[in-house]
Amino acid sequence: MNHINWDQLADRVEQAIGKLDVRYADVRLERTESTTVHFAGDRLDTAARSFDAGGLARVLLPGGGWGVAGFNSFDEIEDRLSAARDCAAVQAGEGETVPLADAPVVVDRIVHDPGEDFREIPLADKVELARGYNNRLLEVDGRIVDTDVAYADRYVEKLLLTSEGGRIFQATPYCQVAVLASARSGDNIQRAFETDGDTRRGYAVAADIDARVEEVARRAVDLLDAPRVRGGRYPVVLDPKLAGVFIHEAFGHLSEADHVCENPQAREMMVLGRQFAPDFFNVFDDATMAGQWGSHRYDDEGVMTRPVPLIKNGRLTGRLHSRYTAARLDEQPTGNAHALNYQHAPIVRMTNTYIAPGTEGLDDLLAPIKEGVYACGMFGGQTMLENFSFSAAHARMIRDGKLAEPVRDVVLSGNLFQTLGDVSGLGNDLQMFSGGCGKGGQSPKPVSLGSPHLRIDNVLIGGA
Amino acid sequence: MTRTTEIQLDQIAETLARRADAWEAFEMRRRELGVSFEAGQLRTCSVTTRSGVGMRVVAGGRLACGGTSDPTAVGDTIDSVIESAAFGDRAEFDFAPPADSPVDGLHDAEVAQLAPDELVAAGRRILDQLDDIAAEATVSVHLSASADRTGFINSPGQRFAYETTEYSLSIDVECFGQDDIFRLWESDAHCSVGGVDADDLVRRVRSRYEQARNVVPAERPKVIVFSPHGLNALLAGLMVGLNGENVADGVSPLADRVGEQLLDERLTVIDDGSLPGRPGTQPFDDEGLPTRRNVLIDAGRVAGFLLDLRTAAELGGQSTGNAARGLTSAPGPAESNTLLAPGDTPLEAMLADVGDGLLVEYLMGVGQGNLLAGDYANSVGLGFRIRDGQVVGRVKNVSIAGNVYEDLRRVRAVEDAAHWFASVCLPHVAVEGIHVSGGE
Repeated sequence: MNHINWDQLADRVEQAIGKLDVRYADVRLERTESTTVHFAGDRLDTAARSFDAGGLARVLLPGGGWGVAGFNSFDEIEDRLSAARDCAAVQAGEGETVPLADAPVVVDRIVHDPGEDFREIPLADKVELARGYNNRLLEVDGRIVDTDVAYADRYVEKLLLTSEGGRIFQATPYCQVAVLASARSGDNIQRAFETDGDTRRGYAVAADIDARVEEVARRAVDLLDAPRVRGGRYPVVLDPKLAGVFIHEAFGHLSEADHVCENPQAREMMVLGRQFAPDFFNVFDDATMAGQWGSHRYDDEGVMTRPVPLIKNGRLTGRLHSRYTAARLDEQPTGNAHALNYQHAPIVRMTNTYIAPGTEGLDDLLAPIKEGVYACGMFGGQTMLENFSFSAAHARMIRDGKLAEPVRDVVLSGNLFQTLGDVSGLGNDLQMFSGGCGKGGQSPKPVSLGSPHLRIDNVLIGGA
Repeated sequence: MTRTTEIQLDQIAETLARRADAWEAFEMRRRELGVSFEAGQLRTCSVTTRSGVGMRVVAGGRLACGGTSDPTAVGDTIDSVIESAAFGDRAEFDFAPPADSPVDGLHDAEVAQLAPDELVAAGRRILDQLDDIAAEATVSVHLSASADRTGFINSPGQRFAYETTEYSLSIDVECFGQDDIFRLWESDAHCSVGGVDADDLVRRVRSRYEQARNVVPAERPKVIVFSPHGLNALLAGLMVGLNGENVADGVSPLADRVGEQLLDERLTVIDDGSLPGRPGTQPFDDEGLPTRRNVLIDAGRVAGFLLDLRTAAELGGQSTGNAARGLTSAPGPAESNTLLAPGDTPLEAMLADVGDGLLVEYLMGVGQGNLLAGDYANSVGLGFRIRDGQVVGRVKNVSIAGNVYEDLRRVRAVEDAAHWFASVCLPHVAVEGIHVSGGE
C-alpha cells in the first residue's frame, strides 16, 4: 500500500480546487485500515486486515444544487472534481441557489491519541482475545447453542479541503467489540448482546469486557424462562441505555434540521420555545465529549463542533445543522454535517445525544408504580418522526414499587406529542453508550446515546 | 483511466496460485448516476465510481478472506489474507466448479448510457404529477442509474464476467399537519427504465396520501390485511428461520421441520436469483455458482433453506446459489429476489370479506427483537382502518404482536396478484387473530 504524504496530497487538491470557477467546492479523501475478527459458534468466520480508500468531491454553482463525484483512486482527484462540476452544471441556473451559512475557515491537523494502539497488536492476539470471549460464552450454560463475537478496529485518516481555504486532517482510532449469545430450549430461542466501543482507549476497550461477556450469556438463558409481556399501556422506568435510545428516536432525529427546513408546516410545528417535555428535562447533542463513539472535533464540512442544547427546561431550544440547513433557517451551523465515509455526501447527523441527569435514585423512580415495566438495554429503535419505537433487550415487571418477574419482547411505542410530556422522573446516573445510527442509506454511523434512569407514565408496550 | 477486469484478476490469481492450495478472487466495478429532488427542488446530481477486489483462500487447509478498494493495497491484501489463514477454520467444502449460467437480461444499454439531464427530466415529470400534494407536504424524489461489472475466477477453473444495470426510483412524502406527522414512500428498481412504472408509483403515492389525510380510531380489529410492504416486514422472522446459516448454527426452529406443514397451504415462498431484470438477479452467486429458483415454503410446507457452499456442506446438501459477500467479508447465504405466490382472492373481495379490520402498510423496528423464535412486536408505522370493506382513514399509535409461525396458520385470504418493489414480489394477505394494542 502506498504511503500517503497527506500534506503533498492537500497541496495538490488545493491547486485543483483553485483552478475551478465555482461558488463552492470541497473534497474529502479518506483512507482506512481495519481489522475484523468474527467468531460464530465454534467457527472462525473472519480474521482479516483490510484497506479501504476513496474520496468525494462536491461543487456548488450559482442557481443550483450540489454536483457530487465519488471515487476510489486518488489518481482520479482532478478528473472527479471536474465531473462534480459537470454535475453541478446540469442544474446551474435552473433553480434556487443552495445557500450555505457562513462558518470560520479552519486549518487544523488532529491526530487523536490512539490509546493502546491497536495497529501494534498482532492479528494473532486479536484472534485469541475474541476466541477467549467466544469460549467463555459457550461455557456458561449448556443451553447456549450459538454465539457471535466480533472484534473490529479501524484507523481512519480523513482530509478535507474547501474552496474557502479550509484544510483539516483528522486521524481517529475506532475500536469496538460485540458479543452475542443465543440460548435455546426447544423452539424457544432467545438472544442477548452487548457492544462497547470508543475513540479513546484503543485496544483497551476490547480487552476490558470479561464480566459483561458472562452477563450476556446469562441473560440469553434467563430470557428462555421469561414470559412475553402482556401488551398495553404502562408506566415504565427505562435504564440509561434504553432511555438513550428513547431520546435518540423520540427527539434526536426530529432535531436534525433537514427534516424541518424544507417544510413551512414543519417549521411552525417545531418552533423554538415550544414545550415538549416537563421543565426538568434537558437534552444535548455534543460531539466534543472526549473519546465517545460519536465524537468529532470538526464535521465533514469543516465546521467546528460544539455542545448543542436541543431541549432546555422542556422547551425546544436548538437544532442540528449543516451549513445548508442553518442558512435555510437563519440559524448558526452546529457542526453536525457528517458522512458515514467517503462514499457519501455529508447530511445532518446526531453525534453524542443524551438527557442530562436529575436527582432521583432508581428506588425513587420505581416507588410510585403499582404495575409497570422496568425496561433495559436495547435491541434498537426507529422513528417515523411522530411515532417511534424502541426495543428493550430485557425487562422486569414493576409491582408495588419493586422489581418483580422478568418479561421479554418488550417493544415500546411513543408519540412525539405525548410521550415526552409523560416523562415524570429523572435519575441521577447519566451513562453513555455506543451505537450505530441509520439515516439516508448511511448506516451505521457511529453515535453515542445516553441518559440517566427515566420514568415515563403511560407508554404503549406491544405484546401478545 | 481503466484497468480491465481480467488483467487485474489474472495477476491476483497467479499470485494466489503460488501461495494457496485453493482460491477465489473477484473484482467489482460500479458507476452510479443519481439525482435527488428535495421539496420539489433539484438538490443533488452525483456520479460515483467504485471498485474493489476480494478474495478467499484455502492455505494449509484453512480458510481466510479479505479485500480492498485501494488499488495500491492489493499486494498487502494478499499478504494479509495468506497470513490470516493460519487462524482460519478448516475448509470442509470445495470452491465452485466451472459452469455456465443461462441467466441473462440483466443489462440495459439505455440505463448504462443515461445522462444526468435525462434523470432530471424524469424527476421533474414525477414532481409535476404530484404538485398538488407538494403544496401541502414535502415531496422528495430520488432517481439513480447504475452499471456494474463483476469478474470472478477460482482455482477449480470457474471464470466469468457479467454486467448489470439498475434503474431505481423512490418517492417520499412527509406531511406535517396540526400536531400530526405522517410519512409514506414508494420505490422500485429494475435493470431497465421500462421496468419501473413511474406512473404506477405516483398513483400509489397519491392513493395512500388521500387515505392518510383522514385520521380515525383503530378500535380492536380481528383481521389485519398486510399490504405487500407490510407483509415484507411480517415475513422477516420467517426469512431468518429459512437462512441456512441460522439452520447450521442451530438457531432456526425450522431445522428439523423440512416437509412439515408449517404454514397455511396457500403460502408458497420462493427465492429466485435468476429472474430477468430484477435487482436481486445475478447469473452466478458470489461464490460463482449459477443462480436458480429455490422453493423455500411449498404450499405451507418447509421445502428448503437458503444455502451457500459452507452451510450446504455442513447440512449435507447442495448450495442453492444464494451466497452473498462484501469485499472484505466471508460469504453467507442471503435472499436474492423474494416472492410469495399469488392466491385466488381479488383485493376488493378480500377487503369486503374482512369487513372491519386494519390495513398495515409499514411496521417499525423490524428485526429489532428476538426474531429467531418467530416472535415479533412492532409499532405500526403507517396503518389504515378498514370499515365495511373500505379503507376509511389512517390510524395512529397502534402496535401489533405475535409469532409469525403461528400467525401465518391463520391466513384468511391471499390476493390474486403479487406486486413488485425492487427485489420483492408480494400480494396482500389477510391474517386473523393478531394481537393489537393501542389505537385510541
